[in-house]
Amino acid sequence: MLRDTIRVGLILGWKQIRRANIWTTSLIVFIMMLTFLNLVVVSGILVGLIEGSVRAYRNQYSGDIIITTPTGEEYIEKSSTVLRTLDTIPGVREYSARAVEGVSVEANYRIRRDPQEVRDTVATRVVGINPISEDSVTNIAHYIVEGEYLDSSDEGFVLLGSNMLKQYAPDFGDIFPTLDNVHPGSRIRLTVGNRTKEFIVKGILKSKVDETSFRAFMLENDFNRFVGRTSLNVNEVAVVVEDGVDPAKVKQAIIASGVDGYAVVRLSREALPKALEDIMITFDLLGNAISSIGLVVSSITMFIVIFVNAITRRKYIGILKGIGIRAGAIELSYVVQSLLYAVVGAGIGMFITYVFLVPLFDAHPINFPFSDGILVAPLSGTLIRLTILLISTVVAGYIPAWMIIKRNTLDSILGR
Amino acid sequence: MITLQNLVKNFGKGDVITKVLRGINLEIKSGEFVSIMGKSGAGKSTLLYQMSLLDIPTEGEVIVNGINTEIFSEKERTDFRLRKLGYIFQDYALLPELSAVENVMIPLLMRGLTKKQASEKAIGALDAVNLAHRHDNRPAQLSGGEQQRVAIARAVAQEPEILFADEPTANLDTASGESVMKVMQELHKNKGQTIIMVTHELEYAAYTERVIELEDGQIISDRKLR
Repeated sequence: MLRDTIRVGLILGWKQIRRANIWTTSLIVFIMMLTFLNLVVVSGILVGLIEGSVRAYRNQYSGDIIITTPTGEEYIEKSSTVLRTLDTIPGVREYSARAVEGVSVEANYRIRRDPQEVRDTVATRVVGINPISEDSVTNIAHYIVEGEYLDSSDEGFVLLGSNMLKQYAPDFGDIFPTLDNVHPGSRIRLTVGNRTKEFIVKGILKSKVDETSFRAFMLENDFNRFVGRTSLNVNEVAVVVEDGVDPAKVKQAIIASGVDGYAVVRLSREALPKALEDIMITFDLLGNAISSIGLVVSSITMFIVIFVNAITRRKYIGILKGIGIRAGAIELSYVVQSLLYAVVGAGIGMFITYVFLVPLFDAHPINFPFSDGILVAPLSGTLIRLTILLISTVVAGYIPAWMIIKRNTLDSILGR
Repeated sequence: MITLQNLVKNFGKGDVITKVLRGINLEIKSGEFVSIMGKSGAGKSTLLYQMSLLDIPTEGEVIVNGINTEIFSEKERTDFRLRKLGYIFQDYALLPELSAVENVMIPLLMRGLTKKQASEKAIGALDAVNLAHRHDNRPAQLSGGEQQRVAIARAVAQEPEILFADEPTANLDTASGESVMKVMQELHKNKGQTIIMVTHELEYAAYTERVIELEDGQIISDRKLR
């Protein structure tokens, strides 16, 4: 009995769809596709906006794992032991050790005539690096916008992050001081404690990761001589794991080897400022809220479509009931219609999302002021949203059909 | 087969009540071909709707094959119509998106026949009403007479115990009307089909064997023609 009801419902629904106006059907499918994209893409871009920052943080600064100085320590004790240990850990592809120190950078001191005039200075951190290993870990050379990247023989040269320079960060000038008229070839003076030394700017780094664009970089030998660090200890080590290797397992191996006795070992995501994680959760909620409005709109659209369809076919619904077709079969025919619209619309939406949009945003991220936004659309989340869309569509299709079908059979046939 | 006892049907509420059927008592036996006649507003279609379980009387009882249909739920009434009764409506009442054969097949599929069985039966029914060449045409591609014959095929294919026809010739020209009446007459003669038909045209009532005449919701005559 139920089987016959389902069979007749499917036939009636399918026949109605096949004989429906192609433009009307296309429009409904188009609306369902937009609804699906709204569900997936809006929250995907909002989350992707932060995910872009997270990826950039990992790719341009932390690597997969970041080993840092414990709180209260000046640097990572026994850094050379830590680095030697990393050489033995399976899955570590490469790493970059960085020595970091707070400095004051002064520019335009040569043209400063009046001793009372405010010095053109910024406070920042200077990082001593091996330029080859740093570039292989963070691809830092890619972010040079003026001048050139350091090579191993560039003693006396520094790279400056663009956010310290007025021409790149004019807005910061109101909040943080910036250096005026500094370009490759400019001479700047760095001061650590009572040590001051003049360096030549070799290149300008521009990135949306503060750890790159708010720092100065020099050769590690220059750093040690300038700062007066004789121990060769470093402050942070960015580690990149081999493709296909789980960074969490490598992190556990590093900890198991005793490195956590000297340093703090964290995955890139664990090292993120908590605010970023909170913003990501907030944006996800915001995206869901915006998407749910779209879901309500699409449900109402489907309700109206099915209601208009059912009300204009009220006479035929009455006839079907009159000749003995069960209400369940007629209701199912409308549910089949709404479900098919949703499945086709969402199917096209999924195709567009995964074949076009995700690769497109990966290749050409959206240029937001503080991150390169990508589209985050994990399949599991998409399937959950798809299920919600299908359920809401089925309900939106069923209710109007039920409303019309429950009316008196004879009244429906006679149109009264 | 059908017994009506003190059947009353009123429309409206409160003070504005229209009494359409005023205590009808009637018995129709199996195998009869009955026409119900009367002027417009006499209550003939309303009477048909009560007998065919498409409507519920205000008072009185409709007993079909000894079963008092008063106790039926809406679902049971639908199932009863599917299994025991057949309908031919004035305006054919075919589903526009289905072909002739599909229109006939739908109630058969609802009754649990396989697609093959339903298809064979539908084709047989259409052939019987001389529509062998119109199986795959949709209603819009058929003339009024052809559409009504599809409706007859749909009703007959279910092998109903009682076939109800509500002014089946009203929208047809004379030739088509006569063709439809001949089909119904053959059904009655060859298969002993019980048919209850509403008409206001005497020439079509002449095809039947019993004529019941209504006036102001009451039976004023009930006579056998043959």
